[in-house]
Amino acid sequence: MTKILIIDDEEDIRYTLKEICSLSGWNTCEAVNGNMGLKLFKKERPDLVLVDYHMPELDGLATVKALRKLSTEVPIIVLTVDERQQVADTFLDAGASDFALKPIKAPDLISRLKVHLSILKSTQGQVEDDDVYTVKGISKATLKLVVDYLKTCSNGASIEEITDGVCLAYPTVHRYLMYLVDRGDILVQADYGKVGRPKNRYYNK
Amino acid sequence: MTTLVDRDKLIQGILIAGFAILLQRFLEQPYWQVLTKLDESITRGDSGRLIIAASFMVGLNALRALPVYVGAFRAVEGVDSKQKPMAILVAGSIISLTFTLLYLLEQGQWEWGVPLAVFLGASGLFLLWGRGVLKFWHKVIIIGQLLLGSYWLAIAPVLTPVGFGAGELSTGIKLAGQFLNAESTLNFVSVAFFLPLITIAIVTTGLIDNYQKIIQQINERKKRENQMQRVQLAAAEARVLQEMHALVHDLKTPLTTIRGLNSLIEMTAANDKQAEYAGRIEIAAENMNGMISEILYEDVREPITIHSLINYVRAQIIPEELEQRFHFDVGQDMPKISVNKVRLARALVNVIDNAVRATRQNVAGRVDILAVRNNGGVEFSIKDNGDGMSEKELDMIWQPGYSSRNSSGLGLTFVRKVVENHGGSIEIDSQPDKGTVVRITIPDGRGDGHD
Repeated sequence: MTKILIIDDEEDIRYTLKEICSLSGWNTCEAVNGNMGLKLFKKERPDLVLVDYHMPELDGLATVKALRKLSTEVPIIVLTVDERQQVADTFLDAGASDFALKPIKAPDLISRLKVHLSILKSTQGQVEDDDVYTVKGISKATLKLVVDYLKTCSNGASIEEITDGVCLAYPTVHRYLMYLVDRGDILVQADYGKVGRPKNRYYNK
Repeated sequence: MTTLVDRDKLIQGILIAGFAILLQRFLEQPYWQVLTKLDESITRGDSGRLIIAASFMVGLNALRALPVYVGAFRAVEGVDSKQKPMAILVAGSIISLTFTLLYLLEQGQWEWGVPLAVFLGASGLFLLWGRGVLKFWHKVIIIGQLLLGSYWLAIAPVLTPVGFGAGELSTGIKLAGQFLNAESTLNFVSVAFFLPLITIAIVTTGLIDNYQKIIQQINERKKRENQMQRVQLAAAEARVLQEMHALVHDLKTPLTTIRGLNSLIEMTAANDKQAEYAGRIEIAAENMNGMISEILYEDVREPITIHSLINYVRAQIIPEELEQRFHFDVGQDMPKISVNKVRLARALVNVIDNAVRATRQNVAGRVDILAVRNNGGVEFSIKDNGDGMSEKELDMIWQPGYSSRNSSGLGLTFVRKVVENHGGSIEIDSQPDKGTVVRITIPDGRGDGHD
């Protein structure tokens, strides 16, 4: 049975997360700080970890780094109110898989967790551990998810559409798209819509 | 050259010096008195009366010469303080010209001894020692003392060969002294008055100079203290904001739980009604979340109609038993503006509160709140018929820490900060006892020209 480790110092948030997980039929175990989280991780070997950004005793970032040393493939999802790409990049560099932006909504969180659990299943046993990350903060499985989605969009897609389509957080998608554009795997085009600044649309080559 | 001399002061100086010529007319009668006393002393052989006649003459001479010197040194105030030779030139020419004019009108004898002594004394005291700290009236007093002292030199027979006391009257007194065999008395009296009076003039200059410097120091200290107070106040403001920030931020955590669990209820709702309730709760929670964001981050904006903004403001005006009449008027066809609703509303409430306070003592107190279209944006004006402010108060209201009612004095600074953050402008017109109008203009806030 799928087991999810929840690391958050707020009791109410842990309860909410636990309830959302149990609705989807997942087991949970809870830790109130990063140190406890690491201990529990070794003991329980969960399938996925939810980590809060702001915590006393080993904050979210340090926890993510420590967890990645224990396992390269377990999905680590960071809970944060901070939407800045800079913060996101720091976490992705540290090895986080994705974000759950507060406020947490059950349908969103469930589908996001499902995506990561299925990524995990598809990669398990197939790739060597060292090969899971092509570069820092870019996981091959997640990259494949984004590329596969783009392949289905013949008219290209905006970053918001991709975010909804693959059920990943905006900062994560942004990071992967930047990586793909850098490598020249996909095309960007500015779309001058009706209102405001032009939006970029991304196309599979 | 024009930058070196202040024309206004130069003209003032010349006018004051010119006053001496007018004064001359009124002094003719008293000068006759001197001659009468001189006659008496000779006819009675009384050297005491001679001394009295001499004192009279000294006093009159000093009085007559006072405006000449005062005018000259007034003109010098307009000369750049670094241009000392220039200052001495200006003073010297005004004094010599005026005296020449005086003697020409009187057809008297040019006497240069005393004027030169006074001139040198005053120049030394003012230009070398006083160093610009002496005020106009200080100079008048010091010049008066110098004149009273120096004119005593005019009656000393021993100083006649070096140019002192060549005038008609002085010569008369000296001749009388010769006649009465009182030359040494005159010499003695002359020195006996000259020395103490000149000493007093020098001491006075020193005292005033010192006093002015102390005042300057006190003012500087006061200025530093004010500055320090302002810095402390700014620090206190920052601390309060930080504190508020942390408190408001803490509200987000319970809200996260509310929305999280509510979304679970919505997903698992037993019937449509429950799902609807959960939906409503989510909308309310999201509104609250938005407000928290607007409080926390200045740059958070949402589009809003002027009507709903004004309604939001109205809801925040404390409904204590207000005597004043409120009048809200929102123009037709108002644009939507993109603003930080919470902050802008707070700013408007702040201004309205001031208007309420200003009209509190007023029987027919009235506060008008108007919103009209202005270049795609909106102009809000808050008008009251209350106490109003003087120009002096108007100048001070923007300084953090200034408060007309001993509050923290952060109110208007906050208002301006919010308005400027929205790219808007604020102006205040006020007249004492008539009332105050505050106009706040907020652009539409979309920034670009797209419709």
